[in-house]
Amino acid sequence: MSHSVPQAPGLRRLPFGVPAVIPGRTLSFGLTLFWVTALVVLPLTALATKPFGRGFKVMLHALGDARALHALALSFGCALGAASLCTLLGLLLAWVLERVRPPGWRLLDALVDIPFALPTAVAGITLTSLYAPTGWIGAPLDRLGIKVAFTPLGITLALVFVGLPFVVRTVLPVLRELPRELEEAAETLGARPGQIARRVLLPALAPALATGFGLAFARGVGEYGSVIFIAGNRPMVSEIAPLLIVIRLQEFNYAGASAIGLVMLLAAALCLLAITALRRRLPASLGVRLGGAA
Amino acid sequence: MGVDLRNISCLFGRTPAVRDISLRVSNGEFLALVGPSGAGKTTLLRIIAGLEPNYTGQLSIGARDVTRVPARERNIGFVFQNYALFRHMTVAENVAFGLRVRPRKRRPARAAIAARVSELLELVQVGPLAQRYPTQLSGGQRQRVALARALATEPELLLLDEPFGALDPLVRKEIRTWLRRLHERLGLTSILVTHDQSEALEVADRIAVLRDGSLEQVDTPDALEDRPSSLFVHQFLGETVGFDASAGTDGAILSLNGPWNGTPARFPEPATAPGPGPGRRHLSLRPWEIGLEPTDAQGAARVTGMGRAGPFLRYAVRAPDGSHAVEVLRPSSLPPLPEDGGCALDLRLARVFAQPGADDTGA
Repeated sequence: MSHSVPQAPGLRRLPFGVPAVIPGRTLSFGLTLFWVTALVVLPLTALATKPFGRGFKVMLHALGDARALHALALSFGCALGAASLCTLLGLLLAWVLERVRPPGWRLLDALVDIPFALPTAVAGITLTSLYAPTGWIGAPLDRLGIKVAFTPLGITLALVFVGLPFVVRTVLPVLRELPRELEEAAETLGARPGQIARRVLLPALAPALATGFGLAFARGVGEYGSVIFIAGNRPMVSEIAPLLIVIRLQEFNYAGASAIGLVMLLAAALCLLAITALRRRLPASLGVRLGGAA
Repeated sequence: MGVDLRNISCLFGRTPAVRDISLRVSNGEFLALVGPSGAGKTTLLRIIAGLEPNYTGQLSIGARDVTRVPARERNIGFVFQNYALFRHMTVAENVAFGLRVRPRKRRPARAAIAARVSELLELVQVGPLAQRYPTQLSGGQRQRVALARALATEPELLLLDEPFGALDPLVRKEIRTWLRRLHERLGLTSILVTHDQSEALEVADRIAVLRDGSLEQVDTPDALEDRPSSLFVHQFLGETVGFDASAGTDGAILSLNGPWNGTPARFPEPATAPGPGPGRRHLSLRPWEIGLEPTDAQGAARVTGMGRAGPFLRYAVRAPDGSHAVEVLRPSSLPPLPEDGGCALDLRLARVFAQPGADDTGA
């Protein structure tokens, strides 16, 4: 835009290097840089260089393996499916917790966080015993010809379980902060409930939904504990990439393990970048970003 | 369109927020709902809008009974206190919203919507801002956009909930004169909620004063000022100075009570008294309505201080025993009173009210 933009009152960010009134900018930046380097950048660099240690060919070979490719595709596919499901279910759950408020909603609210706290292996074993062909839910489903445990469906289920809190916890506060007047304004303008949801609420929640989706997806790609029990780990059917990494390590095939790791890292980074880029282009973020603080 | 409220009541839990209000707003009228916070004025406005479904009584807009009609079918325009603009939409999209959500049969063509939007944005004088987002606008601009959005669907009734509350005083003054002109130009019926009585006095044809959910008085600004139905109304509409007094059998005020007892004073004619018969009364006046006349009489009030207040001189006037003082404004064109001199009070412009509890005491 060519004309000048009146700034909404709020915090303005100073350009880098300009001394701020609040002290400790240098110190806080230094500390941040240090731990980000020590905890994130260094291990990632090690991971990125390790596969090349034995030569580029070894790495390509490790990736050309059909079993590795299938495991990667399975991990990303299931994570994508699970994150999508989480986004739908999480939105619904957040809505119920914030707007419907059924009796006992506080208990429900606490239950949402259980997957955060529960050891993932426990969750995995529980899900497996429930959904195995002999389990409470698995048996009737089995009679209908639907197999959940030991199939990609089971993996997705486990990933939905661990991913759901990410969506609920990102969407809920945003929903809570949305002024009721927005819905009322839409209503006085003649909008029907469906139109209010689609044109007012969803766009306002979209950035939070995208973030929740990204988090659930990232968690799903790397998830290990809750998946390995229900997956059954049959090569070329239900073997996930993180498990294959462990198998390769046990075979002392470090190059193969780190090659898969590297691919997962790159693919996950790309996906998250794409989500961030998409998120920034959403009208709801646009409206906020252009005006500075809102 | 006129609005007819009949016996409207509304409970919040067990607390009555609105108690049995009946009120008629005629077509083209600008009505202000005023009252202290918690008086139920916003609740009443939301009932009229259809945003507060749990009420009893009957409500018509124009000839149509809308008691059980949801907000989206009442064809009203509502301007919220915090504007409630859609942040993810540009100004133009915000204004177009009400037209775009119409069912296909009643929805204007794309071009017609665009034309209507730019016409409205011109009307509220924010034409060049059509492609901005609400966060890029100043408070006054947001206010105008919210108004344009409310007007887009050609409502029969415009409801405004404290629309100037968040604006700075200069902008506020400008935008309310502008709103009044707009109201006349478009031939709207408008209801404005405000806690600022000066705002109400300036823009409204009639003012409804609410207190604790009940309607205290509805009248023109002049009538409210000249003939307030209760001390509350008089006090709410501006600064007041009060005196306790006693009335004789014919209802005429005889003397002041309390610390002012014995002060020479002139009193209003009996006709303005609330009723015949002796008893205790309360006299209420604006500070500039009290006349001061220098006197050497015994027991006169004393002028103990003065200062300038705009076109007035502000006098502190003390009761003869010195225990009690009031502030009186006097046009600075009148000859100044000597400091520490005695003065008589001219209270002929006082509104006279029965004193609360006067009947019980039997004094």
